[in-house]
Amino acid sequence: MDYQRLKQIANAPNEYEVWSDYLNDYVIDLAWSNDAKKIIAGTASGKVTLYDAETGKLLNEISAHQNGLMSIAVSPSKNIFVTTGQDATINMWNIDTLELLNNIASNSQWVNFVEWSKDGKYFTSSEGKVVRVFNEAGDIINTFDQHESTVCGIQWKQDSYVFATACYGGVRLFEVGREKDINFFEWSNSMLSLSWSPDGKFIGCGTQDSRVHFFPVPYENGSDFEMSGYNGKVKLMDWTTDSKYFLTNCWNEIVIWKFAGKSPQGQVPISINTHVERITQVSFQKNSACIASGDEMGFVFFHDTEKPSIKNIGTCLSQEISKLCWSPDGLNLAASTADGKLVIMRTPF
Amino acid sequence: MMENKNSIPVTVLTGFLGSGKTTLLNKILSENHGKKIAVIENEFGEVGVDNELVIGADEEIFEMNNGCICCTVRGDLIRILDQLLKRKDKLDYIIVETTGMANPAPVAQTFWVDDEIKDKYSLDAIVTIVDAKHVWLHIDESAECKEQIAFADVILLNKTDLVSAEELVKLEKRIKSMNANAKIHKTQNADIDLEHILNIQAFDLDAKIELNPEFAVEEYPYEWMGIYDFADAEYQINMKEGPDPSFDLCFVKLADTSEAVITKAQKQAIKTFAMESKTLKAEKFINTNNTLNTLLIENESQTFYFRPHKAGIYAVFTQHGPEEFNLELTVKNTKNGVPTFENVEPTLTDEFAHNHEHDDIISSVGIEDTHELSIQKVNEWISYLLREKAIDIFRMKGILNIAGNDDRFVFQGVHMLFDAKADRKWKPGETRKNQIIFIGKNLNREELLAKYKKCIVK
Repeated sequence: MDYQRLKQIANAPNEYEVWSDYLNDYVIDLAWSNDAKKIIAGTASGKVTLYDAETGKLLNEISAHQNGLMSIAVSPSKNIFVTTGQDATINMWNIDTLELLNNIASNSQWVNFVEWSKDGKYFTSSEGKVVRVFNEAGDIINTFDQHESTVCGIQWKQDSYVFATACYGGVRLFEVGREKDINFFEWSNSMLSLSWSPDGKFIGCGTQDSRVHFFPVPYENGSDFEMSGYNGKVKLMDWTTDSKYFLTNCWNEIVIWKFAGKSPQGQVPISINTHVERITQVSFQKNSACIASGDEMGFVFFHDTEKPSIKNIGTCLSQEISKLCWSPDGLNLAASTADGKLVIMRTPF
Repeated sequence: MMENKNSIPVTVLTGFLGSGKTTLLNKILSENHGKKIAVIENEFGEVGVDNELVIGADEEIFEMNNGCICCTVRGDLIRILDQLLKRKDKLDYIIVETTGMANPAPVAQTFWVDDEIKDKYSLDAIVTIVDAKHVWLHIDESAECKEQIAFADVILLNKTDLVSAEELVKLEKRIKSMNANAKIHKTQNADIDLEHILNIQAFDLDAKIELNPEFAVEEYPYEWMGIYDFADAEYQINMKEGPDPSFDLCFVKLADTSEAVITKAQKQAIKTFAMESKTLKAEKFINTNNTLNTLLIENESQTFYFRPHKAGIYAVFTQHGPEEFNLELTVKNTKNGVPTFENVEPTLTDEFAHNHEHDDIISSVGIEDTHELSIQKVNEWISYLLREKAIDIFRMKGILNIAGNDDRFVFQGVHMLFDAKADRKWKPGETRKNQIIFIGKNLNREELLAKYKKCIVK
């Protein structure tokens, strides 16, 4: 790490900034509209704010949840988005008008998040141990209650209505309309996160004891494998669109495994060591191997997996980065902080 | 745990169903104390679900390292605590309620094992609520009930209005025998000032760590006490073979025979019994000044002598009952140049039953002593305890007087997890003493003492 360079970055003006605003509350989640023209920010107190992504003009604001907000998810096909909260509700909204389209009650006080199917026909919710499937109107299609503990990750498979869930004890595959899980990959450990490769071949799960466990799909008993040696928990994971690279965070380090259709066992991973403090956000740009990452001190860095020699490109927002979100076209990055700053940046790549 | 001072304190609240946990939590949430307190309640919790600061947990227990009981932690708690950091205003306190049937260890261990939680939160104390009336239904049978009492830093004896004063004394004695270090408060309707249960800093070695191991009836290291009025004369003890090849005893001088004085002497004798003893062969003189004497019983019959260092009332404490060795005490009188020996009888006696009937008995072993200890020997001893005894030792805490070191040395542990540090300088005039307390099951007092004594610098 080049401390001199970090100091320079911390003191320099943000050369990537397009516009910024201050929300005066912990920003829990950010999301872009599909046309990349609007940005939605949700804060800890349950407020949702809508901005014009180009100009930064505040378009609308609503109190979406009585208690805290947990997540925002924009439909990939329509002008609607879903929010979940700590008030046992799932709300569906119109992006243009912020009109409440549907209010769905949950039995779980904290509704952790929802995840849309790739075509936007369905979305699933993580409501404690219960996972429900809704159609795009918000009607319940399925309720799955066989999880042993809180579901920490859900992801849909490309071009299908199959999705995977992770919780303590293993990974399950479900299919819309079928009553039970269609597959169960048993594995006794406490999970933190789940990430399914876009090509559908691998499901990776970060665990509480600082490992990543992989299940090849289709799964055969014993074909799962593990990447260990992390000196911290892997909460954040992401795949490049072509499934070639898989990134994981590990305290202040970004560790990238090359998959290219086969398991990365035995290979030495690419390691990016630009951050000094714990990384709170990291993800790939769409259709590229470029990465944006943010840490507890407020540093945001841009990296290119294939050009690791280009280092220390970034800025400092001075407070813990609470969320980073690439625009769907990959040209802009929305960043937010724990004290309520929202910044839209132009990517250097 | 030595975390930064910005960390949010977490109190763990345990107790059986119906003991008063819900009553207490409702009070905490409704009371106007000006603090932001979040409650993480158990799966079957009954506290206001529409309150944004009440969060339900699903008690997901898992082993951080394969099969190691000491690394068993609560996964759901890690996730919830992580989420609770995402707020604009910081929480003042967090209370984690466990189900009645929960062992408190995984909750406590979560705050040691998990790096991120350790960074942002500090375990403040384990508070256990005991239903003074109904606890007798569980205290002998339920491992969880015993564990909850043993792990506690603070115990609320609740519903005291439902039991008689005698029953309460009996219960308090029983609880102290299991956990000599917990602070006990008697409550009705779970009515307690929050200062007694929040911000205790029981796990914080940076806080002023003070130990006050109070010893309970069942934990006396001696079996018998006799009160005597000794003259300035020579006394003789005749003993036959008994169940042990040695016999420990000590003398404590008394001002009078009031109950308070005798109680104090009993506590003094506990400390004396924890000290290095003086080994005596037959025909030797016994020390009467607060020293532990180990009489070697090597023959079918033997005699020891003593002359009180000062005439007056004494309490004599013996490791075994005197009748087990056919012990006879006589005083030597010289009449007309001819010595005669008259039997001496105690004016008062008391017996202290050992408590080894149950296999999985939970108890406390306390050591208090002023010798200097070897840091190397202490390290070896603690390593041994962590390696071999960590499953049985639930909690341990200590302040140590290390030879050649002007700093107090403090430590604490939960099962296999252990923290230690030099704490502060001994103050001028302060008695440099070692105070150690172990709480756990199947604790062997003799073995712990023997190993402790090996740490003393000769």
